[in-house]
Amino acid sequence: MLIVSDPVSASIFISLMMLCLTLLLYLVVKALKPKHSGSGDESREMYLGGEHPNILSKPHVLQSGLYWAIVFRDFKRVYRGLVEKVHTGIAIDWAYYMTAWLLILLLLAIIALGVSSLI
Amino acid sequence: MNHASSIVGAITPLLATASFSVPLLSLFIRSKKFYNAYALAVSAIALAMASWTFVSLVEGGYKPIIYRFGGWPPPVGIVYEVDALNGFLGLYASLVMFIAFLFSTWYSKFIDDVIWYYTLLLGLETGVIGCIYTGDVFNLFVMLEVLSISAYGLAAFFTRRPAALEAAFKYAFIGAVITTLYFIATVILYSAYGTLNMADLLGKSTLASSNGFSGWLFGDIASASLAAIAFTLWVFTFKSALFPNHFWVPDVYSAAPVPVIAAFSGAVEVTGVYVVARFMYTLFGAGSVLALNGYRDSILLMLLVLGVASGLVGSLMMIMQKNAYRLLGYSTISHIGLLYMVLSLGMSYVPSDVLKTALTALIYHIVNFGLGKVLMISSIGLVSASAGERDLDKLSGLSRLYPIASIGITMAVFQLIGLIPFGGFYSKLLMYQAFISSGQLILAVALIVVSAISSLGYLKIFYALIFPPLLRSYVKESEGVLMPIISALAIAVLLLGIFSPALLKFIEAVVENSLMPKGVEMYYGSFAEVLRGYTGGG
Repeated sequence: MLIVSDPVSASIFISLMMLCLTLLLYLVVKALKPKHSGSGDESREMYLGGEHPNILSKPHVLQSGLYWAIVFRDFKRVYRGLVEKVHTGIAIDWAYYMTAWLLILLLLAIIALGVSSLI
Repeated sequence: MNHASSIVGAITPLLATASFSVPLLSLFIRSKKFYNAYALAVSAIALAMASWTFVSLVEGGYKPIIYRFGGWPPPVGIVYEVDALNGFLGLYASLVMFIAFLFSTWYSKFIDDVIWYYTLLLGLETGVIGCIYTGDVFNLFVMLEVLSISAYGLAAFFTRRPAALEAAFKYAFIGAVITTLYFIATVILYSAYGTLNMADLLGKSTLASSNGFSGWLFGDIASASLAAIAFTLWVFTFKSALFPNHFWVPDVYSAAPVPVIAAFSGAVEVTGVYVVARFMYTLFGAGSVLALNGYRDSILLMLLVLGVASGLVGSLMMIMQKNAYRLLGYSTISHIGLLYMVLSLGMSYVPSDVLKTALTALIYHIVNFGLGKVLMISSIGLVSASAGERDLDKLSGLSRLYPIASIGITMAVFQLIGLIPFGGFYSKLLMYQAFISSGQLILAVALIVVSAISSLGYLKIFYALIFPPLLRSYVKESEGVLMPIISALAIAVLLLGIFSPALLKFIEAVVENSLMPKGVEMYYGSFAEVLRGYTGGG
């Protein structure tokens, strides 16, 4: 069988999956861990993963807190691009991206036709 | 005409008649229980018929079954041609739709107007099964319209919610443009090939044969095929929600009735993937006119790139969602990306054994992803519908009231992330093997990165529904039929992994007898055999 007969690939695949998951868990733990370095006033402030202090009035940390804790700094640029340029929620923006994909398909067809006429 | 052939031809008329009968019946019967039982019974019959069809196929050595509507000979009349691929996917889609109908019997207490709900849901199943079984590109357009119009209606079902109307309007507006383009594609094909029959198109696109009914070629098939396939792929990448044609999914998922989301995720989008596979491997395969000048390879490469983009965008966007179903919508987009990554490994330079592994992974992952997603939606649906909320923050700790939902969510997350011993792990492992064997290391890494990022999104569901305390008191709804649904699906996703060696062997046979050269030959062979019956040989 495809899987059973190839334990090497299986081992590499599992190891990489586990490595990625471990790295992610490490990032989560690191992001949520309070910082104790330094001795200034700032170091005694509670780390809230980028949240506003009013989050402490909530009975528990909101779902968005988990997201922002991990990605607030590192992935801010990626998400800004995704939300402000791609997923704007505006139908005309959808049409823009979708039309681009159709144009690529048609352009490839025209190139293929051009190549065949040259041959 | 044997029994299996008659059954193939009877499924969609049965579903369509049952759908259109609902408004008529409502003149006499208003009981919600009646319509629950009626729709469920129709769906169960459709599932039994799809099962019979597939069993007949297996018993017949995967020889395609052809049904001629009205007794007209192909390619003059419309035919349904069911081979191993659409036989298997037809069975799978019927099962998913049956679960959606079963789920609806519980969910109907939250719906005021079940008449239109079941009319549209039965219409959706008609469209899905019709698109999968048809052997005619124009009939595919008709069934696509049936599917799409039902889908728009279901997306807008909660008309008092502005979000539902906005989502449905956007979906329907762009969807209408898209289906029109597919109609143009069929016109282009007919103008060049003189036929709309899929098997006839296959014979002519490989310049292998003509026939007495549709004659030889009528126009420049190279130009026509290039234009038609460009429009067709654009249409069905929209239906299957591949980036950048995926925008409708999050809005529709966040507003539609919950069982409908399960049907969309498990059956509707898979139908789009099926049609792309059918066009790229059966109608316009490696030996077709489309393969000249590298167009087919270029298209597959573009689908591959978009598959990776879809996987990444879907998994990244999952993390920042607050609406449970919007999150699941992005999860679907991510998995559709993975499906396209393996579907597009059919370039001319990829060895056939690697392609076979990739296509086996495709079919196996469709089942794993589909059932895992239906399990997830059923489990979250139990919690969210009971609370009347879809926001993860407001669902905080609610699955503590429903232990079966907690179990279902946990099993579904493991299945969708791809943890051992769940089926999702083995299908992802098979994808990984296909990428490595084809020398595409970067795709193998992309698969792992997409899975890892999406696991953060799934973690949010855990974090919201299972870990925190309840924010306020709720009246607990009875689990009813959702208890057996969630239990059965949770066991199924586990069994999909445990029995993966046997299942893979089975799916390999399905791929070998459909999308690989032997299967394509059989697809044309059955059509040619029917033709010989009319022309008396030759």
